[in-house]
Amino acid sequence: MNRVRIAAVIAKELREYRRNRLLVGSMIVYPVIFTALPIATFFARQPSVASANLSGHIGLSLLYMLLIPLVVPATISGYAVVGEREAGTLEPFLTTPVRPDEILLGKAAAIAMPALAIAYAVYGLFLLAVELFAHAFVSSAVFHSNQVLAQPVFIPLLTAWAIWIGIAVSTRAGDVRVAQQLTVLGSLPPLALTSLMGFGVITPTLTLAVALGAALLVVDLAGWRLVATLFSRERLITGSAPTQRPPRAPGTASSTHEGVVAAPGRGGSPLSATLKLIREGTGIELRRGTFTVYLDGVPVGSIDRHQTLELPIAPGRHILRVGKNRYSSSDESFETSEADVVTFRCHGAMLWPRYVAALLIPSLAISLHRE
Amino acid sequence: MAAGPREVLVVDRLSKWFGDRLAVSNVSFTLEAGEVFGFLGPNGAGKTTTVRALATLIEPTEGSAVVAGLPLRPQNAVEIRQRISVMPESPGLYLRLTVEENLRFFAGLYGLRDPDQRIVRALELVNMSSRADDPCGSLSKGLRQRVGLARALLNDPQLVFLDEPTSGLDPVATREVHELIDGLRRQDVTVFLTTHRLEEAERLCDRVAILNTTLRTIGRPQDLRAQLFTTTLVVRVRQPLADPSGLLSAVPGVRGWQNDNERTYTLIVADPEETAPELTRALVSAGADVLSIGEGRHSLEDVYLELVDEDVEAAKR
Repeated sequence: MNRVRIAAVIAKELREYRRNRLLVGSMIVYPVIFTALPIATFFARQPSVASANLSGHIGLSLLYMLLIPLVVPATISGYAVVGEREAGTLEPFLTTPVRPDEILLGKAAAIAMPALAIAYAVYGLFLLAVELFAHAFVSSAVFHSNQVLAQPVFIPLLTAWAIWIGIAVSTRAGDVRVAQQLTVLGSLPPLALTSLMGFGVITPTLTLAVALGAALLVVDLAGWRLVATLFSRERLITGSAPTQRPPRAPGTASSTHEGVVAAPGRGGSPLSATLKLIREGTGIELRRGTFTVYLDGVPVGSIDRHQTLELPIAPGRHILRVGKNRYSSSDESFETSEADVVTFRCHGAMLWPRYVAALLIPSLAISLHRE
Repeated sequence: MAAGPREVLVVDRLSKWFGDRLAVSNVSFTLEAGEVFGFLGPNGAGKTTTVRALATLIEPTEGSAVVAGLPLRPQNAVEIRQRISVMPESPGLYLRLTVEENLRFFAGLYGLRDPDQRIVRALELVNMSSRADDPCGSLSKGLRQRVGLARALLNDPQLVFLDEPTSGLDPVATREVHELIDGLRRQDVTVFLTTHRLEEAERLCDRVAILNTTLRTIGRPQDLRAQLFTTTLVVRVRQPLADPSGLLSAVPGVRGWQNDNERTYTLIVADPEETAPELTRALVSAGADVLSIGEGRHSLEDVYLELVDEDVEAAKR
């Protein structure tokens, strides 16, 4: 790895953050909210509060603090790759000698710097405020709790988790908004565990904290390598993985100048029917790239956005499906007679809930309907 | 496959499939140092795909290439990218950063040891020194294109890929980019220019290739014209000729003729310089008032349309 290239990425990212007021605003707003609530809670505490009750408040307050290293990096990391792609800066970036692991480390370090600085600063301010302004009884309870020591350890671990989740989502997502929403969702699982401890469902012990910290450390270290394997220049630029070998020649579709796809080799018989498939290009298509068209389970062509595929087909009953890797439409059955033209329209998922659902049910990824 | 001493790019039977769609098929050509090479073709012809494959951004499905002296293989990708540069159609600048900051970032990515000097020199080359501290977001499209070109020259590349560098530019900005490309040629930098603008290719390029998934033709613009079109002389007279067939067919070197309109005749000839004086004498002897005699000229656009129309016709069949 080349340190000069990593440093260049870090410097560029930090300059961009500084000049993005929206980003700076979101970096500040969340920590302010997550700090104000616990501080207000503690200032209101009186010595008469039961110690068990106070312990619950401490857990809850420190839980708010742990949201900062999850939420702050998530707002930036979701943008890291897909944001560059949308701005058109990714391709020039990738034409330079920089390697994927250098890009990832540079971007991750640039996200980690402000996120850690904010998380530790807020935590420090919180402890200072408790020490200076809270009742001595409350202050003593906070500084003698187990969580107060675990917090500085968990801040970088949770930050790294949120960064790798965000960058991983960002390398695969087709849209910045979807990437940021999925990143926030993906950042929450470790928080669920800490929440269970904060609310006393799981008793926080030193052993449990060490085990959880060790697990997060392993995941964070593996995250870098895992995300590096997801980082394919070709996928990022074209939206699809490299094709290793050409598919069978007959029935292969080719693009003509008007954007209509003809299927050489299939021929057009006067006794045949025609299947017309239109790929709509309106709206935000979250599932992108070239779709493969399957007729009766056999690939018969491909279709891009704004294209129309016309295929001569034998009269009778057929099943049409459109797919891309593991994602597809549902099977649509139809019947044709001689000289019929059957028209279907398709497009990738356009709403993010459907996009997310397609991760579990791949046949929801592409919409296909008869006209 | 090995490259010759002057060969900067050697492409051999390169193909690229996206799924089951063939984007580029069996493309072969060679570029020499200092050459400005035009890569033409309609939308979806595979021009950008070819550039991306040669720039190691995407993996060719079949075929091989030697780029800037290195075989196009994944293990050479970093070194190839060090020796070339690519300016995509959209310059892709970081709009919140200044011109100088954009260039400094790329100087870092290329690991340049003297970034300050390189940035100053690149900005001078594109006449942007006075705008170094301006945010890129405040620049016009033409100026952004110039910054993109400065960025492409930072690493002293052996081979520069320019993808539609004048797309969307006004005539003045277009002329400036043309002058910059001429400047690169003078510095012995090899330029691979993809463009839709045929007059641009004709004006700038030593050789052109026309791609429509397959490579339809390659050569110097004048050679392509000669290959595809017969040599003609165009004659304009004041009054229609009384017996054009008898008069024109009798002139030595005339292989055929056609009457374009009442007063204009196009003659197919073997050698215009040999035939024109003979023709003039014959016309004057016949009492014709000759307004003009000139060589019929076909532009690169005619060559392009001829080849692309052939493909369209073939697709219809």
